[in-house]
Amino acid sequence: MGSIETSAPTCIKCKENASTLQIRSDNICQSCFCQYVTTKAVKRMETYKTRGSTKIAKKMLFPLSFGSSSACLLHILDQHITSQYKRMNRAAFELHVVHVDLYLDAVDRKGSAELLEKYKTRFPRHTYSSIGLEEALSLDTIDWSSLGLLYPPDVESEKPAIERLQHLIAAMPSATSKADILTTLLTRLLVSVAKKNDCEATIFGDSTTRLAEKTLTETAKGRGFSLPWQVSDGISTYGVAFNYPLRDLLKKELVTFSSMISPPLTKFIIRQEPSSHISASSKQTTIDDLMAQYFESVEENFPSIVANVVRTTSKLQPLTWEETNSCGLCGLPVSEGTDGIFGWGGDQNSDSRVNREHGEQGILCYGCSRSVNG
Amino acid sequence: MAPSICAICEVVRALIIRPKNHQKLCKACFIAIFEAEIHHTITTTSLFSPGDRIAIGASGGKDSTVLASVLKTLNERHNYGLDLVLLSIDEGIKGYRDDSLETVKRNAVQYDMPLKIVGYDELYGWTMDQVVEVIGKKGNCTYCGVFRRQALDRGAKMLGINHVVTGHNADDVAETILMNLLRGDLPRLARSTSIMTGDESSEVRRSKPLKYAYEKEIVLYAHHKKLDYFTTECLYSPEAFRGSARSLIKNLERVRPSAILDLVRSGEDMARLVPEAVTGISQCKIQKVSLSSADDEDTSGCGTNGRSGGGEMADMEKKLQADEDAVGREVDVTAKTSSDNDGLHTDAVLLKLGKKTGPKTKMVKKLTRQTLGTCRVCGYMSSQEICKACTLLEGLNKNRPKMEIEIDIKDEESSIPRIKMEGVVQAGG
Amino acid sequence: MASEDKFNLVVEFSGGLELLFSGRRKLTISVPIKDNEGQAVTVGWLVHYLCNEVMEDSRKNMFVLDGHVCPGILVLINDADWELEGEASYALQPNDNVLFVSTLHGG
Repeated sequence: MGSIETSAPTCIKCKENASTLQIRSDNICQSCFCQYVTTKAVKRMETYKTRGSTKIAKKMLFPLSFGSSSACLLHILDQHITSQYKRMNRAAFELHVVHVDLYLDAVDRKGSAELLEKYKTRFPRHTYSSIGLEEALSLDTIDWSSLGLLYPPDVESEKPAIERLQHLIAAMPSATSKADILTTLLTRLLVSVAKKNDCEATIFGDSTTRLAEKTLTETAKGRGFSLPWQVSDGISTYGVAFNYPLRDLLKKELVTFSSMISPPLTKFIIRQEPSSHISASSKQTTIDDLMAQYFESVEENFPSIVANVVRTTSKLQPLTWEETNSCGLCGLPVSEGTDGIFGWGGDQNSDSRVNREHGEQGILCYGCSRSVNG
Repeated sequence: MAPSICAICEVVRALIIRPKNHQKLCKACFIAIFEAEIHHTITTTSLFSPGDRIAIGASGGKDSTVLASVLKTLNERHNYGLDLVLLSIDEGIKGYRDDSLETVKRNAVQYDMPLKIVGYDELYGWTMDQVVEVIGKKGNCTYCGVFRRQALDRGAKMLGINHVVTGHNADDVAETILMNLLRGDLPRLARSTSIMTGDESSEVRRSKPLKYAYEKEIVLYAHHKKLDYFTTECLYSPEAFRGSARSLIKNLERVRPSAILDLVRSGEDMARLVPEAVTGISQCKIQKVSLSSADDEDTSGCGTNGRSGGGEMADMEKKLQADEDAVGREVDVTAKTSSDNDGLHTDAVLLKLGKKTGPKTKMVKKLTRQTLGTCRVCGYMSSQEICKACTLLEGLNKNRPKMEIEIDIKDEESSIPRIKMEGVVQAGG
Repeated sequence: MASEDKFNLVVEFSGGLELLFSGRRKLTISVPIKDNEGQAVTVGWLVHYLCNEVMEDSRKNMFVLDGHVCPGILVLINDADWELEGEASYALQPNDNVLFVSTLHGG
């Protein structure tokens, strides 16, 4: 080896290897980087202590979206559980991995089933299941009458569920509304799966970046009141804890991580299209898209600001949960005296109350009302 | 294209698509519904009482012009019994305010309202031109903001008025909410959505009757009623939080028009979720009571350096990173707020000690509750011993002897020509 | 086959946009009846014409972004919202009044 002078600085942590990467602005080598990511996630997991015996493994639901974040998390947790077994012959928790199929096309479903098999092969320790989003239509926790639809999806059950789901989505007034309803159905379905499988918590792979996106997206949709339940670790209003162990890591750090571990996870991940093509003028663009695009650029230059948004939001205290009205669709509490948008100061039209001809009906929260009624 | 018919009267051809909800309306119906909605806001929030004297913060811009016009109309139509006065602030920036002040003077005639113009030199002994001479163009926006905020209140006091209305619209409120989320500023977030700040005990109250009105609708209203207003160049740097939030809002509006109102709704709800320990204000009063410390409501550009705040996000990034480094990379910090960037505002800082492996310990800062008092120097209401304006003035006055000499020499050779140029043409890119 | 026929239009700028056009609030311009491809000139064509031929200011992206008029700008054709007239594909008529007003500036 010649004594070629390299300009690569040394890793700031181990002080030995050449650094090829950066965390925030620190130079770091590949193995320290991987350790950094892993440690962050594992430390978070340790904070999710629950009551009860520590000898029995806690069952946790793990939604796998095939995105880079949840793939990385599965790898990290799989390693962690494996090492716990090696050391102590037991582990603190066990995972039930579930993939919810958002695809409505049979061909796409076949593809996602094959991909799930790959995960099973690589991480055989856990339980796996797959479920189609249309199963959400049979949930009894959703009050379909509150949507005020002419043809609620729980009626006409001769039609296949997938078709009824497509019909429901098509009835939504905008691309943002469609995305919003899908997300809500997904969440409620996951809660149902968690309960059916005796999982006391659900572990999501959301990164700091994703949580920041979520914060701003939900705020822009009128759901500011629900933020504590959507981005904070801990009990949700559904009786199942929602936890985000990757909340201290940036999306780009996770993407890098996925290509660094060996063997790399890249073939297991369905890449999202780069957001450069997103234009506010397109009818297909959603608020979610705009926020993803926004934070991709903020993450690039101001990563600490991204983290700060999430930190700040998790300081908001949720309203005390009383057995008052809850939204028929998303299940979150609805402010007294209002029904969706009606009754709010910004609703400056006293005649805007949606005409309810069918007698007793459930009500919607502001955000869901906006999505359904426009 | 076949002409559309107005959705309300169903008679006249529609000329307007409401930015708020894309409803197609004719000119008359649009004007009527715009006015009716403001009336609704005013009555449901009990903003005014008969016999009230109200000062309208008038800048000559579209928001304050529309505000004045609508208030006059509604006052007469619905017998609010209000005594309306236009109140305008002259910062003493040569070449800038002249046009807007001329516009306000015309408005006073058009709306048949008395007008009071209050100058910075009258209030503080310094015009902005003079401040820029001493401070330079970096940081002078801070001065302008603090001075302007107090100027409106002080001007009102001079007239014996204790209620000021400003033209802040839904877009402004939505922007402020996003901005405060991005900055992680919970106390400001809690205050930014109230329609009225201050109560019977405070000297001057401020309210925003246009709080739920879309900026685009204000423009359309002004256009169709042929109102007289003046537009100044004001470019928010995209590296400032407000500039960043502003372009995001415009994109959001395009994707989903209701997003602006939805943001306002979120902000109102979130204000109730901010822990009392952070705001220092009991929850039940949060919607009404607020402190009149310099807020970021008045950061509308002043032309001297419309690009102020450039690098604001970069500065915050640096500061946050420095904080993170001090704690050490392995520490679980469970709660931490960041103090305000330009040092204007005392945020309550709440820290919880998490697990730490780093060598340094984290300091636990005490909560600073914000209480109302008066400034020792000028008697203006303030949460500090010496109010912000007086603090800034102290600094300025120390430099005055030196500055006076320079002014004698330079005289007209100040930054004024530069301002005009920047405002109109970008020579050579 | 070049058409020499032209007609007049009144173009107005307001809300601060006039600053991009050297302070001019109102222009009477003469436009060809057909554009380079032989199609009737539309508002979309007018926007690009203004941006490329008339605007002296270099800040084009305050008027047009990604080929579209910036999100904060309202366009009125003869006092009506341009969306009611077909937006960019509205075919211009002689003596039409097209107003571009920016909604972005403080007040």
